[in-house]
Amino acid sequence: MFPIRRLCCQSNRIMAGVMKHVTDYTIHANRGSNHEAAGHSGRQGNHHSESSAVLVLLNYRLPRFTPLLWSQACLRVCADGGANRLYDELPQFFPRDDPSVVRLRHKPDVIKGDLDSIRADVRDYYEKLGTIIIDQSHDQETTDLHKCIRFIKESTPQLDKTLLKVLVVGALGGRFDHEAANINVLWTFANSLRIILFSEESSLTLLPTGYVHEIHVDRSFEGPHCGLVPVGAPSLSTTSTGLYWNLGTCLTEQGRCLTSCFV
Amino acid sequence: MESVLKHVTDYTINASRGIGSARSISEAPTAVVVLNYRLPRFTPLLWSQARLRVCADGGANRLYDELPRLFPGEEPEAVRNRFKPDVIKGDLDSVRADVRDFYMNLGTRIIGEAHDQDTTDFHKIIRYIEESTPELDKTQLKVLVVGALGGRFDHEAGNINVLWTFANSLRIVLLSEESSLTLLPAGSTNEIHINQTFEGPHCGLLPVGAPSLSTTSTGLRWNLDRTPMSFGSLISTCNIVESDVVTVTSDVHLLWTIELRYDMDHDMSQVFSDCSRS
Repeated sequence: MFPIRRLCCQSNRIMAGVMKHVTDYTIHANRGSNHEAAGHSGRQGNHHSESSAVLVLLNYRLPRFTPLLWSQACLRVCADGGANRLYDELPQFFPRDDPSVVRLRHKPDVIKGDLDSIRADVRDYYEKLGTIIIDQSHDQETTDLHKCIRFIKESTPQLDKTLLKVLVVGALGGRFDHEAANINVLWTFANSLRIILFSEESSLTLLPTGYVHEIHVDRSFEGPHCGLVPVGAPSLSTTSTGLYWNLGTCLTEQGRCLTSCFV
Repeated sequence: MESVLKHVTDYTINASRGIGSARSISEAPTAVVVLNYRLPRFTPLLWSQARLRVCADGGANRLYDELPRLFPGEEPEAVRNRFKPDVIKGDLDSVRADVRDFYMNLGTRIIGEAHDQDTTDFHKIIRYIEESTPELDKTQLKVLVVGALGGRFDHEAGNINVLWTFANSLRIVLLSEESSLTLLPAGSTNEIHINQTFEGPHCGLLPVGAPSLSTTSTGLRWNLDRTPMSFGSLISTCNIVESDVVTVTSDVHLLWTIELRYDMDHDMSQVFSDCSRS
């Protein structure tokens, strides 16, 4: 039905090269239940991928596959009230397990941000377990996600940033200005880190200008619907292959040729 | 001299004063459009204030399935009869056969446009409202859209794009339970009249379609003063409304978003106990 697996997009500028986007994580526990995957995760990280994944949890409803992403990550960071979400919602994904056991099994490495949303009981709980709590309440200029990404960038010299993928849950839905601010962080770090925002229904990632982007789709759980959205600025020229409706030199700007709901 | 464009929140999402009072607030006609995603719990209240109610294809499924859940003390059939859309329109590939038949039997107009795959169902509906309601003053008409946000992101982006397509013709407001979004056209002085009983304080100004070289605002905690804004650089989020009236002037269309404080404690059933369709 859809023989073409690789999607390529480019803009009409001097190309800096090919940038590969590979879905080398999974949201389906086809190798075992969520329970099994989480129980054996430890700090193995993404054992079926060459790249490293870091998981960031923000303060909105978490997708039900969060435990599976957790098990594939080598670093887990909560942005402020994301710790509340972890504490409250993870046990709901394991209804047969004791909540305290689930919480012990999903201890974040770091909780960071201005700490005005995290509940005192949640903060104390994770602090006692050994989670590093980093208070940046003095910094009101940047969002909690921005702080976390900056932390990840600066505090993980051992991780190859070209292979690092930051997976973010709780970034979409809820207050729209928060969603926009989270999308803006993709732009802020456009040329330094690969960041993917997840909701239960969609993933979002930025395709930086000037590259030929090779998007390797895992069709066991991604698609078929997709879109290319010129957020923030019109595109004079975008070209794609591998889509049902490919772009030639289509002018894309808000109100005109915006590709969405295209398979 | 720039023209002044007023954006007045003259509808309500909280039935604190009862349905009668809610209706009397509004001098401008509203149309409600129901799209195919989770509906905010205040949907019945918006419905009761509207002159026209339209479902975009699978939005009819949402209406059918979700409205009865908002009235747990009532028979689902009675709730469905009370919330009958005037029109169901779109390519009709999502609306269930049983839902379609139910509303058709009640007298809802079903308009299929299966041949037009170049525009979204939402776009088709706005065009329909624009063309089919000559009796409504379009400068006064407000289109309130539920089920537009959340879910598949390409749908959400497509819905926001419709605001741009109709930027200079219709006032459209996208509503989720947590936020409302509307477009502020470029070049006008946009006067935003806030209903602080349920709007704010958090808000934002987003240059979604193009960078702004110069935006100026009043009434916010962190105002802009001929400030450039763009994604990757400064955008206004987590701002705070400090006045009943916010003004915004920009060289580009901006997306204005404000948080909504829905009052969950109010019993919707009491409000609608003797409600009949207006």
